[in-house]
Amino acid sequence: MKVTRRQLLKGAGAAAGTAAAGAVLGTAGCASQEERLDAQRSLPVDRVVRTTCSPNCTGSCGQLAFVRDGNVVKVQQAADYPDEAYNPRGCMKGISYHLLIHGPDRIMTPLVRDGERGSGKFREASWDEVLDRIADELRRIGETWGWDSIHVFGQVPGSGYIQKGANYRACAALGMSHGTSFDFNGDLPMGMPITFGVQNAEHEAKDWANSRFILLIGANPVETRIPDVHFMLDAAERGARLVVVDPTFSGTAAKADAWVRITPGTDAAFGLALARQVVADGRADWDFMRTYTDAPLLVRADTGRRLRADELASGQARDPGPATGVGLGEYGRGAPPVGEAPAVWNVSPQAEAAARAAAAAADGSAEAPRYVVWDAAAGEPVIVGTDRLGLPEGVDAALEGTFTVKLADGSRVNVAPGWALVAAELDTWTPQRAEQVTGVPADEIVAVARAYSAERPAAVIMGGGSNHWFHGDLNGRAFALLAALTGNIGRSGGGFSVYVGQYKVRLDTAPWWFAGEKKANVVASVYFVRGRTETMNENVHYPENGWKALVCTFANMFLQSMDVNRLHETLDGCELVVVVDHQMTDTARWADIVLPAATWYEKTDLTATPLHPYLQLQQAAIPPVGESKTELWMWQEIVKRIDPAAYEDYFDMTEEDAIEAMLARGGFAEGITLQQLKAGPVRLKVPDPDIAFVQQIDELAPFPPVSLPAPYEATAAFIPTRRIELYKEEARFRELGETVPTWKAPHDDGVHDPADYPISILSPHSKWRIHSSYANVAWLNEITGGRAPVLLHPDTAAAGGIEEGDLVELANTRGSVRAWAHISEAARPDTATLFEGWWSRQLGGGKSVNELTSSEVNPIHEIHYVPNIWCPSTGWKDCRCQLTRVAAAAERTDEAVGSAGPAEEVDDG
Amino acid sequence: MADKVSPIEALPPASREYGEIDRTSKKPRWAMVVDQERCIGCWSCCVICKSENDVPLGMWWNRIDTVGEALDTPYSEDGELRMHWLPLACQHCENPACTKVCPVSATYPREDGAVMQDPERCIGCRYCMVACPYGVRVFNWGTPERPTDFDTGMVEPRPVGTMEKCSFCVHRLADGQVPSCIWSCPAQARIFGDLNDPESAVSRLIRERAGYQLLEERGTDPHVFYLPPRRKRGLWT
Repeated sequence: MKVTRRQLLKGAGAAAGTAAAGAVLGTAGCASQEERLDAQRSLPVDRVVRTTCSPNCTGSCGQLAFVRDGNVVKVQQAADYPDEAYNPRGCMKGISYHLLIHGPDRIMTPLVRDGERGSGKFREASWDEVLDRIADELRRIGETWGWDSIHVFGQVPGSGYIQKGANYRACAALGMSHGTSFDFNGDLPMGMPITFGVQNAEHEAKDWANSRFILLIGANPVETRIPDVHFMLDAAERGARLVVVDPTFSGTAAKADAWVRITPGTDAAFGLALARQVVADGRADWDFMRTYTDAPLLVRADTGRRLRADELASGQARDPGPATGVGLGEYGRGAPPVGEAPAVWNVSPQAEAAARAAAAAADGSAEAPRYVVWDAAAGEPVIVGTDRLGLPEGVDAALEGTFTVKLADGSRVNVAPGWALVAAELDTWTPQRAEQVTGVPADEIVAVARAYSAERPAAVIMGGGSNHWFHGDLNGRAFALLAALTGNIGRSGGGFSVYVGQYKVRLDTAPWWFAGEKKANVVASVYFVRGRTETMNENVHYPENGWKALVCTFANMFLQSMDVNRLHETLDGCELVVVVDHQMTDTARWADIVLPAATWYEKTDLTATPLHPYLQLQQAAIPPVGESKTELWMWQEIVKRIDPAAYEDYFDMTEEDAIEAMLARGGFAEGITLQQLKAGPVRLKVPDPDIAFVQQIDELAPFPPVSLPAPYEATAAFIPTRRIELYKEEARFRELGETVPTWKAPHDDGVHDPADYPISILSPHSKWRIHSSYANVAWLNEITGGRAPVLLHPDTAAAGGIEEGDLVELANTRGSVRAWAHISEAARPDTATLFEGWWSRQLGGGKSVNELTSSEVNPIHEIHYVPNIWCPSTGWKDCRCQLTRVAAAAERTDEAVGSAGPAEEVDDG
Repeated sequence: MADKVSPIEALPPASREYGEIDRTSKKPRWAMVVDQERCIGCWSCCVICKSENDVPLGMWWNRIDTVGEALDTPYSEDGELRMHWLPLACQHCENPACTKVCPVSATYPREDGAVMQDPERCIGCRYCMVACPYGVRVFNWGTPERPTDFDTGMVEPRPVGTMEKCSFCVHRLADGQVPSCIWSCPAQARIFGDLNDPESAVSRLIRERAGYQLLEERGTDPHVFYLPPRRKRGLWT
């Protein structure tokens, strides 16, 4: 790569120089000068404090805060992970955090609204005044409308168990409703609970380095997993091939061996075509499919439900008895002897028994259901239990064909293996059909399939670009199928992983998140935005009188909620809006009362992440700035005022008390002490490397592994077969034609006709922000210019008469937003990319890109209701709009840069 | 307020060990290797430089040029989109162009390879800025603006009207610690060490990965070496 001086100087913005060279005067540095400069040392500090950066990126990166004269004067990665591969961990955002701690947008005192809502007019108030008022108002609203009409919103509790847990504890103590985040953020990959019965499960980032092939679907780790992406580069250095599937040329595409430019919203079609090709090429791993998935289980032709053993006429099927499964081929070598049911790790026998009983109850039978496969060798049905994976020894389970069995009532019914039904759909996904849907040339699809199936282990990583769709669950199911079909599940370097969002609760949180036996009423926050849906699950306890108050914490909800104009309709009905934050965000500006929060450099908390298996503390480096306080303190004071007895019972404790109470519950934290955590990161009691489903694959333990904090039986109910479920039998899957992995056109195409709304608006995560956090870091805005660009293809720009820097408007029936055109072939002609998280003052108009996004709920996501786990996951990218030019490019004004400088929220949202 | 301590001595032991310069000869000649295959253009090295050295707004001692059309925007070549990043700071040349033109010897090469900049002697004539072929020297024109109302970082701010540039963090080298940009690169794309030790990581990487210098033809002989991006394999090969 040839670099010229002209290029370098252009980058520097250097003025054109005069011809150089004055005479050289003097000699090169006298001794005293050298001594003086050589004697330079780092300036002294008061102290260096080890803590953890934990915004909603969810990297959980260890940081050192360097404190001088009471100010944090430098933040730098701690780089102290015992596993050196993880060092240094931390990005340009985290190491500029002191600009937020001490920046111009820091909220210094409690504020009370002194004008219309949203006017941004406030007066400073004392803590006593605001606490009294909040307590009085909450009591009034609780007693008038019901305590459940108060919605407490707090983002990603796993990134701060204590302060965020205090929200849950307060809700439990007072009877308020708590919102959700993982699903609300669209990050809950619904393909996971549907297929594997888990909230999500992935490989720790370190394991990426062990891959031979990495297929990235709508994932951009170079920009959004900055602390981890080097593991992918390690894999590439060792010869792995990286293939990126993305409508837009991203930083990750720049690093990839190949970039596949796909039509937005067609990932499932691409995945199904890959799976079909794997089968066609004879590279499917049928041992894996028979051992771990529902592929061999028979499905009734008459009902579309799986055949249960107890539906058969007596003596119809061979019954090998309990726990008879063996792994086929190389699988299940670590399994206990036949006859023993392997325990699910970290789940008590009681919980397992409860899960079996629950499954039985759901099934209307006395015992946990048993299923049936067709033994092609013996030509007869054979019963298969759910207490162990694998198949009874010697059974050659059919994966295709139709068979007839006799039921208990003497009738005969046709049955077919689940795989036959999946295969019938797969067969339609020829490369040619997939090319028509995805826009990816057929030969390219075949080449990706062959490159992927030629290597083991091969990893599929799905990102927000693929998950953030109304039908994101179908995208997930297609690629889960691909990973299973190639035997890449539960294998180091392989897997199907989704790293969008922090969900992973690693501890038994009950001692802190519950108030004694009382739990918070958790209501999916999408129902706060748009009210109840017709298809809402009956287990959602929606407040009888609707929503009357909002306490928004750890979030910039009024900017970052999807369908944000509809959210504002809900707010209109709220009699009290309290926002807790440390930066004066758009959300704080809408509040009735703003409470100044401490940053994580000013308080104690406990954090974990899916990306690495270390438990870490946040420790105060400095006292809270101004009059800011911790969230725990705020709830203590509010609860004390409302219900002194509840305070005595549940809130008269410190952060450290709460941490010790949770650690004492063991589980993944077995043996970890507070004292150890104060010294640095401690690895949880998980395998090394930490790989999803490894126990299921090695030991034939039934799916699913536990998903904390839900009770085991709640998630086990998602997959009554206790296998990887590719075929779904519940009525709603049948009604909506989604029993098997399939592709459906983007939902918004039915709302906004593509003929009238030709542009897909993509709003991915930016590398410069964590959602809307860090949008006001002066250093970062120096790099980006601090105002929002819209990425447009040159043809799209030309068609709209748009030139670089022009102000453009994106609009649909939900709202509109304005920003400045940036023209590049990186974009597809049918898309516009406006990275989410810009503050309204950094846009050319509108609240945020979420004026455009949709809050529509997929009824599939309402079949069960386990908050954050099987719950409506939102589709940020499933959104069409019109594009128009508003004004010609204007010179950047200093005002625009300045407005980008100050202001921000508490860590998330 | 408690007595102040050296921020290096105050580091937790594991962190301090992480930052130690790996191996050195008796007379080290410092060099930096930047792996363009690993660089992800995140600017962490630039931001920590700004933080460590209390560099005011409007100035970067260390920056990242996108090898493309604009910030993080690819260029098109042979029908393919491509993009790389080029982190750029003082190249600490063995044979610097800047030191030769300084009328007051405010800038001079040190024996260990660092090109020093003395704010006390600098008269602000900016000859060095013109002479430097890399465009990495920055001049502080007026009252420095900072996002905080106190000085941050680990070195004294420079007087107005003087030239500034990357110092190789010589204030850290003296304590046996790598420059801050090396420490903070999350992609592990920056390596620091001793060119005089043939077995140091920098020496090996330059040998084995075809390390190159910017504007080699000018004879400045930088102590910053770049490892070129790898060739892409495509789908079919």
